[in-house]
Amino acid sequence: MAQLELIHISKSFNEMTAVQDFNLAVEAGEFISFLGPSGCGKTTTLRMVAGFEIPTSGVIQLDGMDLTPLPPNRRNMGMVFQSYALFPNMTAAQNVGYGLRVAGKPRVEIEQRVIEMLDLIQMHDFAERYPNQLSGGQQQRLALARALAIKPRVLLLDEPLSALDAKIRLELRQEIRRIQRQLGITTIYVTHDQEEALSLSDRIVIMRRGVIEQVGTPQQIYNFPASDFVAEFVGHINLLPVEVVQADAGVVRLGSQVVRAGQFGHLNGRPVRLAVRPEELKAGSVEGANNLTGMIESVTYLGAIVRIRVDVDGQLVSLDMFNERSLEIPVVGQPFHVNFPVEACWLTNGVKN
Amino acid sequence: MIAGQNKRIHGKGQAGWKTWIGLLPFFLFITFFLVMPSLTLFSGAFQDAEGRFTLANFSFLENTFALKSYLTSIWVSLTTSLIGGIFGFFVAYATTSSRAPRWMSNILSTFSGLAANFGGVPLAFAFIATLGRTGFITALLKGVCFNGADGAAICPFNPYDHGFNLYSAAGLILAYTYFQFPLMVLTITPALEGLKKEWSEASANLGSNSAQYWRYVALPVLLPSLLGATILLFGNAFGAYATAQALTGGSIYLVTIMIGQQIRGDVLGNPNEGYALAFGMVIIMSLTIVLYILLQRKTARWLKL
Repeated sequence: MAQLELIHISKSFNEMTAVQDFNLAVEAGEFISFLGPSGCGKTTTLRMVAGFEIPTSGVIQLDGMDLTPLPPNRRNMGMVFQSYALFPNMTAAQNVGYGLRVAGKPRVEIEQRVIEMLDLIQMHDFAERYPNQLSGGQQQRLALARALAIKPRVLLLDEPLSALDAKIRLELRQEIRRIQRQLGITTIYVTHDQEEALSLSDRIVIMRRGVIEQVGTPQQIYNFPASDFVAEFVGHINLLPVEVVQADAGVVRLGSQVVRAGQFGHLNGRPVRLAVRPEELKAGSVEGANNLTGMIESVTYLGAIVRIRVDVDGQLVSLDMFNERSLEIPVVGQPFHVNFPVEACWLTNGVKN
Repeated sequence: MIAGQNKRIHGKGQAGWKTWIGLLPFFLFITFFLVMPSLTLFSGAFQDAEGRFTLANFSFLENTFALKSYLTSIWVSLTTSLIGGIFGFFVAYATTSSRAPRWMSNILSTFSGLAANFGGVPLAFAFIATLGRTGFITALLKGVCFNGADGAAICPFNPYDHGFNLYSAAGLILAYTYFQFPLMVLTITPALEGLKKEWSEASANLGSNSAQYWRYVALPVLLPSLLGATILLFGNAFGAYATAQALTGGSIYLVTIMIGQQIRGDVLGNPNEGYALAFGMVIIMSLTIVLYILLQRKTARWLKL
């Protein structure tokens, strides 16, 4: 049985529906990310789990027990906020021990747990510092330790890294995953950063306008997006308008060039697009693969990769090449051949697969 | 290298000089309206009418009447700063809480801005016109019946027959509270707005109830502001003169009223004794501020780091 279940959860604020018929079962020890653009309802859903928002309808169960009527202070959920929300009048140690203090735990037990938690986040030397004496990254690690100190049943993280700079974000991301694995704690992580979600999660919930678009492992989400929205939101993708040549074989025409898709559903007469990730495209022509010929429209050097946009009969096709010292960067305006495997692309008509 | 350094130092000096010149109006104001009056007051306190040094002006220290006026002033100031402070705090909290509509806090801040500065003779007159012996509300109450302690109806109800007297210390406290509470609203509202919603949520998330949140987080965070605001209220009431004079006609002996009597220059007046009394007020305010600084250091350690 799942540890945490959200069953037909909906939430409306006056006339506006923030979350609609949200269903999710989270296994014990699982790391789940809610990913979506601003206003998609991911934070509202997390806040309903924490008890800060009451669902308009639906039930939230933890180990089979209905949590919905319980106030936040009786749910035993550890939450980490985007703005850290550390108590400014307390030292790092007092912040970490706060949950145990209000629970009336003995002083010795609090001290032991505080040491344990500060060791876990490698901030033992900062115990007597106040939050305003710590960097953003240190404050967020402290907020994590404070949330974990009460031994919560579920850890909730609300965009915890979005206020930090890129380097710290990367370090802290790895640290969060290490601690989560070490403690084996069930975790829900809200983010709008697809890279964070892909690198951290066991499963990702993609949300849009209060509705779940897709639930799956990072690989499933990236390689087999359930909708155009998911395909476009997670990673880069070429979505190229094509004309159907042979519906039952997935053969389409891109400009004057014919391509075969590896995956295609019922082509119901709507405009059809060919979907293929830029990294699936290779330079040159290969027999048996889909081959396209065009003119180089732009070349963008991104360090590890070089992104090339090729004009194929009026359609711009992006291709990512891995950078290496011996790579000859193509020149804009040159004719260019690209190929990609049949199974790397699919046809979409904008309707959920 | 050395020339460059000199140039930099010279340049810095110029920038500093330009910065200071911007503060000139402030320094002029402080000199003419704070430093010079204070020096006059301090020197006058130790001089007789002929300008000779004397300690005789402090003979009021042996006079129980004068000492009592200090106590009355302190008592009225303390009471009104506490009543106004507590009331103002709750009103400000009610309007800054997320449940209150925005228009309510706008109305309150506008009212507070007006009422906090509505002191002196107009305030005294307003109270006399409403709660005086022939005031509007007193007249209305006289037309109303109330049930007494024994259940018998009291008609008409004249508050002056039941212990209320606007022209007493209690009346003074009532009038002072009128400008004290809005001043508290004005000074504490920014601090209340600075309380982050996430703190209460984080606290609840960690298992605390509302009382624990206020005890361990909200009040300690607000304490430096609360202390500062209370001191301001105390000083505001301690130095008030016109309201008390106009309301009670000088029948309640506050230090400020005694100083007024000494300085106004009637036959019994002695301005130098007035200066000495004012000097005593400065000492009391200074001691209060020292106490505030000590408390502030203890309660706001986390702010200063």
